[in-house]
Amino acid sequence: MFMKNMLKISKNKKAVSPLIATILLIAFAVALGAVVMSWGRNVEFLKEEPGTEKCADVNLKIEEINEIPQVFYGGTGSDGFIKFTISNIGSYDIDQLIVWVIGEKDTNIVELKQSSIKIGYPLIKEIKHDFDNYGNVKKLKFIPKIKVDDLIVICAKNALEEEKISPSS
Amino acid sequence: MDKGIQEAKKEGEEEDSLEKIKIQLEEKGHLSSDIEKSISAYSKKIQSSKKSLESKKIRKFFLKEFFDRISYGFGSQQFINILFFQTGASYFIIGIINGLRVILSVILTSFLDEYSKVKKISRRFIGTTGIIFGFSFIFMAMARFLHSVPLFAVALLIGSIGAVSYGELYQSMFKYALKKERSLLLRNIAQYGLMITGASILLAGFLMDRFPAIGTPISLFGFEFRIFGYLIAFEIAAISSIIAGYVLSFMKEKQIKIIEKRSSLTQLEIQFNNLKENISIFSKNKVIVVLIVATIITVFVQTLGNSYYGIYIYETFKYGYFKGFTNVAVIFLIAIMTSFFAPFIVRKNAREYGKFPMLVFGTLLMAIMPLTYYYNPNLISIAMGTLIGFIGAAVIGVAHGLLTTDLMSENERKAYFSTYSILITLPYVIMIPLGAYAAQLYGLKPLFLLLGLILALVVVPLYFLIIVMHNKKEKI
Repeated sequence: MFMKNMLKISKNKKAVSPLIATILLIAFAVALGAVVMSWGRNVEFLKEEPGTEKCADVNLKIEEINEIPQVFYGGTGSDGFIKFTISNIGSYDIDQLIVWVIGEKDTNIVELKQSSIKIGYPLIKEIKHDFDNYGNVKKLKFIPKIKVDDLIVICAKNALEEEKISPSS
Repeated sequence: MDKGIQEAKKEGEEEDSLEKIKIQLEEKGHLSSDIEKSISAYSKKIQSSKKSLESKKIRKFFLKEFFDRISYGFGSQQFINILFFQTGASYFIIGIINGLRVILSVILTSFLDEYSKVKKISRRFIGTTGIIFGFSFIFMAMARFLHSVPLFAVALLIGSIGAVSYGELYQSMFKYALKKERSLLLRNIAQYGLMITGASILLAGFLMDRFPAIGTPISLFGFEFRIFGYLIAFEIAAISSIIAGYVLSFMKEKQIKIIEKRSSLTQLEIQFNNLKENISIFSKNKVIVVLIVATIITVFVQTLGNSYYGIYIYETFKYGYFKGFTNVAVIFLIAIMTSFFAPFIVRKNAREYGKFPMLVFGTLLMAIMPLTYYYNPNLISIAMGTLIGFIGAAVIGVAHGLLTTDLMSENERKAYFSTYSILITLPYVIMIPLGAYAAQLYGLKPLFLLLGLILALVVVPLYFLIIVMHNKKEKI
C-alpha cells in the first residue's frame, strides 16, 4: 500500500518535487552524518591526564614495626593529632602528599606542606586532628602528587589507605 | 500659562486633547498666540519626559536581560546535570528528574499562558519567581557540597518552576507592556544576549575546572579556606537571577485588564475541559494525530539526550583537551551560536525544498548528534555533531510551525496549539522512566545509539507517512 502510494506520488507532478527534495535532503544528511561520525578518528584521544602514566612508578608504603602500622592518633578534643611514617618505595619522587582523614563525624582533607619524599626515603609527619569536629579516625588515605615537567599530577589511583590506626602510647 | 494648561488638562482629563485644552484656555481669555506657544512648549516637555521614561524603562529591561543572560550561562542546564551526577545521583534519577522538570514546565507554561490572559499577575509576583529561581542555584550548590541528592533534586525542580513562571510571565508582560520598545530591545538583546550567555558559560566552565570540587586551598589575609568553582559559578547565577528579579519588580507596566475573576482551580478545570474538547476536534484529522506522535517521540529523544549529553562529554574528556567543564562549555557554546544563523538557513531552505522535506531533514540532522556520541566520541566530532543536532532542532521547529498552517484549519490550529503541549507530556510519564532505566542499565553510549535510531527509523518514517496522507487528502 505504501509503495503504491509512493508510486502514485511519483506520477503526480505536484508531488514529485517534495519527494525528490526529501530524498536529496536525506542523502545530504546521511553524507553529512558519515563525515561527522568518521571525522577525527585519528586524533589522539586524551582519556588520561597528561603525565598520569608516570603515576605507575609511584608507590607508597606505611612503615610497620612488629607488624604494627606506624600510624597513631593522640590528644583530645580540638588538640588531637595524627602521626604517621610513610615511605616512597616506588621509582619516582613524590612532590607532595594529600591526606584524607575520614572521621566518624566528617572528613578532613589536608594538603601537607613540605611533604616531598625522594625515592627510598621515609616521611614522618604529625598533623592536627580535631576530634570534636571530625570524630574518631576511621581511615586515612594518602594521595601522592608528582611533578612531570612543569605539570603537577595527582595520582589518585595510587592512593594508599590505612585503617589500622593505633592510639599513641 | 503652564499652570493654566495643567488646570485645563485636569478639568478635561477624560478627553485631554490639545484642541479641547486650547478652547478652554481661550474661554478663560488667554491670547491665542500665547496659547499656541505654551501648548507647543508644554507638549515638547511632555514628549521629552515621555522619552526619558521610555529610555529609563528600556534601560531597566536591558539591565534585567543582561543579568538574566549571565544567570543562564553560569547556571547552564548541562552544568547542573553534571553537578547532579557528581552529587551522587544515578543516571536513572537524573533522567527522571529531568523528565519531571520538562513535564512540570510544559503544564505550568500552558496554565500560565492561559491564566495571564484573564487575570492580572503583579510584577512583584513575577520578580519573586525570578528570585526563587535564583535561590534554587544556592540550594543546588549546597546540595552538591553536602552530597545530598534529594536536596539537589528538590532545588532543581523548584528552580524549574521558578524559571518557567518567571520566563512565561515576563514574556506576557513584555508582550503587553512594551509594544513600542520591544523592537529596539529585541534587536539589541539578540545581538548581545548570546554573547553574554556564551561568555558566561565559558567563564563558568573555566572556574569549575580551575577550582575543582575537592576544593582549592586559598590563603587570604592570613585566613586559610577552600574555594569551590561550582559554588562561585552558581553564586554568580543566583545573584544575577535575584538582581534580574529585583529589577523587574521595580518596573512600571501597563498590564492587561482583568477580564474576569477566576481562581487557579477554576482555570485548571476550564483548561481540562478545553483539552477534552480539543482532542475530539483534531482526533478526526489523522495527519495531525501522526504529527503529534512524531512530535512526542522527538521531544522525548531531546529530553533524554539533553539530560546526559553534558555528563557524557564531561566524563569522557575530563582529563583531555580544555578539561572537563570547559570542554562542555566550548561544545555547547558552539551549538548556541547556531542561533545566529540557523533561522536564516531554515527559512531559506524551507522556501527551496518545502516543509515536509525539511521536517525529515531536520529529524535526520538531530539523529546525527546522538549517533556521533556513540560512533565517534572525540571532541571535534562531538562538537560538530552537537552543532548539527542544534541546527536540526531549529529546522524541525520552523518546519513544524509552517506545517501546522498548511495542514490545519484555523479552528484545528487553535485547538492544536492550546492542547498539544499538554498532550505530549502524558506519554512521558511512562517513556521517560523507561529511557532513564535503559541509561542506568546499559550506560550512556548504548542509550545514544538507541536515541539516534529512534529518530532515524521511527520518526522519519512517520513524517513520510504524513507526506503520503497529506497527498492523498489533497487529491480527494
